[in-house]
Amino acid sequence: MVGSRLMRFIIQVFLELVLIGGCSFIEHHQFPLWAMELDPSSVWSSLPMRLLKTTAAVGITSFDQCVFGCNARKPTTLIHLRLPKLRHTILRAGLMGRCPHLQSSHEALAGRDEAGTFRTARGKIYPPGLNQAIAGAVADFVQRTFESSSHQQLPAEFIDLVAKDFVDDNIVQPDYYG
Amino acid sequence: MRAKTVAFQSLSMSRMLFNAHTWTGVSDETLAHWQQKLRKPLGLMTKSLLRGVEPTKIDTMDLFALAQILPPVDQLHVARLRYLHRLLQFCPQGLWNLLHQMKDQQDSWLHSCRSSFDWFLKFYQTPGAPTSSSDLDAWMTYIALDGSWKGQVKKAAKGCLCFRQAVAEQNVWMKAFQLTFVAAGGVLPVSQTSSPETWVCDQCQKRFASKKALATHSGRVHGYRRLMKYYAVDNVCNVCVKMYNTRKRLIEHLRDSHVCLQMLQACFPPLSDEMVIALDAADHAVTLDLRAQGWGASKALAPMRKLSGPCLPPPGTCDAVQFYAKWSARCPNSGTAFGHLQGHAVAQADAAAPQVFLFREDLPAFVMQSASGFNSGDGRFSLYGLARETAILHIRTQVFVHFFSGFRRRGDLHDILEHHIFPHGQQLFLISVDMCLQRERGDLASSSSLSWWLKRIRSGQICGAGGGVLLVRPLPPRACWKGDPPLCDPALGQMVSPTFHCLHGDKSWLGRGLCVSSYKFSLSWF
Repeated sequence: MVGSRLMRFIIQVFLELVLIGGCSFIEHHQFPLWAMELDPSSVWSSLPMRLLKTTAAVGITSFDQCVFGCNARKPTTLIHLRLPKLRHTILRAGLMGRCPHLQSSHEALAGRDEAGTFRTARGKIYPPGLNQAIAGAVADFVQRTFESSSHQQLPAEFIDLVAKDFVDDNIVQPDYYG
Repeated sequence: MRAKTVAFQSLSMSRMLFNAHTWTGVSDETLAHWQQKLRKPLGLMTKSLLRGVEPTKIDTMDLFALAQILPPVDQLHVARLRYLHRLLQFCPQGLWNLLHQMKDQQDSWLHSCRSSFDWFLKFYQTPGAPTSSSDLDAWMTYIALDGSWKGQVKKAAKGCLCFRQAVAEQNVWMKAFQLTFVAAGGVLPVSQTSSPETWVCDQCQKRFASKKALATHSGRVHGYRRLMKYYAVDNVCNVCVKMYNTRKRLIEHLRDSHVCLQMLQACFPPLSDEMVIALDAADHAVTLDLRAQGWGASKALAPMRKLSGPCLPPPGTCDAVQFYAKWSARCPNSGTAFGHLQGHAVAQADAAAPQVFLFREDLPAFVMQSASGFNSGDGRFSLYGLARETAILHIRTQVFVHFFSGFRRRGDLHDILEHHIFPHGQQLFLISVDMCLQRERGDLASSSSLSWWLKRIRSGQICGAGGGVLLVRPLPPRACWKGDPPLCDPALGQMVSPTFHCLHGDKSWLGRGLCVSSYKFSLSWF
């Protein structure tokens, strides 16, 4: 139930941004084609996603995260709102966003590592190239849409949400630490 | 809501289902009819939870779940299973023999117990319990020997309510989402499995989605009245010689009893239209009077009474023909307005060309790539153009929110955008909201948090947002799917979260082998 609520939250936010002219993206692992015969439930096969996809401002792009520097192949799909540059950047990487590497060159994100952490936890971290691609697309949207900014400070009600406690790259967050 | 639920449960549900678990032959249609009767009060009770969606658009089962009440069909299973335990202890042997003799009949009590066992297995599984293929004796032995049977049934009921609530929450949200989407200019898809018919009124060529809608239209515009009204003179049925409290209840009786209506049609001509209008007006006054007292229009303030009297001749006989002829001579002005329901069904494709299709077969291609959409809406859905002007007018502060779970690192999305220099002097602010740590506003599953964020977006304080739907985590070991093959992606080498299974309303989570504790644990996992 909580998982569904989180998904509904992000889709609701996405829809609001569609209506006010903002930009957005939602990232999730790719629809599991390998389990098609099991009729898997996936966020990508849900009706809200398919409805959003029918609108002109929204695009869906699937790619492998290894083309951006991830150790595993990690097939991923992004639904993006008014971020055309993101799609262009992804499709320019690898083989139209797909993995150009040998199969043996990937790390399998299975089981736990020596520290007892799930290997999938490391896979949650966006590779540097993907961060660059998303950041570039968002910057492009802001640049194209707004000519200037009237506010030079973050609104006060958001200040409590700012987090600046950086950790080192080799530290992986535990699977759930709330 | 809690107080209302308790009152509703004790006043309405317990009265409706009083001893129903001991009856034989309670069909699904009967239960659906009971459920339907409770739609109105349930709609009023749950109005605040419907996110602006009309109660008429929500399924009755979902209304029950939102009101935190088990639907009648589930309550009947619970009562039947609990009663079975007592029956095994105290029932005399003679009655058992009788029950066993009739167990293979479709409407026997033991046969209905079978469906209750299936329901139990769907929502609760315990080691050593019989399976769906076990015979009746295995179930009886298990129930008789198990000292915790009552508790197990209670847990199954809790699991069932939990599941129904999750499904109802999803369905209501989906309806609200569609309403917003359509209000903004979006086009909903035409499902291939949707109703293929549209009803056309022969008298004015208007189109309606159902026959019922056509009947309502004909009643209002063309004076159509139901056939039963033309044979209900007072409140006594002349066929079965029963006296009802009001004429309205007699009409309901004639609607349900086709035999009575056929015999009346064979022996009497229909009343005149003027007389039916006068009787309807009198009924309307009775209805208003009942409503003023707080009762429904068809409330039986007095029970039906069986009278004694002569029987009518059977239809098709000479006596019936003579009877009809005499009455026709006595009442020559027969009404005809019941025949004003004139319409025909046409295929949906013929009625209107669908604009958006969603096919099941194109699913892989559909979800993998899309260059752009094919519905431009009214401009709000466009990539630039009017949408850009809306953004300029509406968005006051350029804040981008990244919803994530993890630690901040140098070179992450937040860091890159924060240090980006815009050529025209724009200033973009970044917030990274950690769903695991920032409990107050990071607890995105709470409705208060959702409304807080939506309010910020609508007030133009946020220009963009993004993040993962759910982070890929392996399943907790206690919440594994016992009956399923492991959903392990060979390419990824990782387990796939089953959390979204609850999105599929037609599938039960617990039906896949989770016990209640594992089910709740998996719910709280993310």
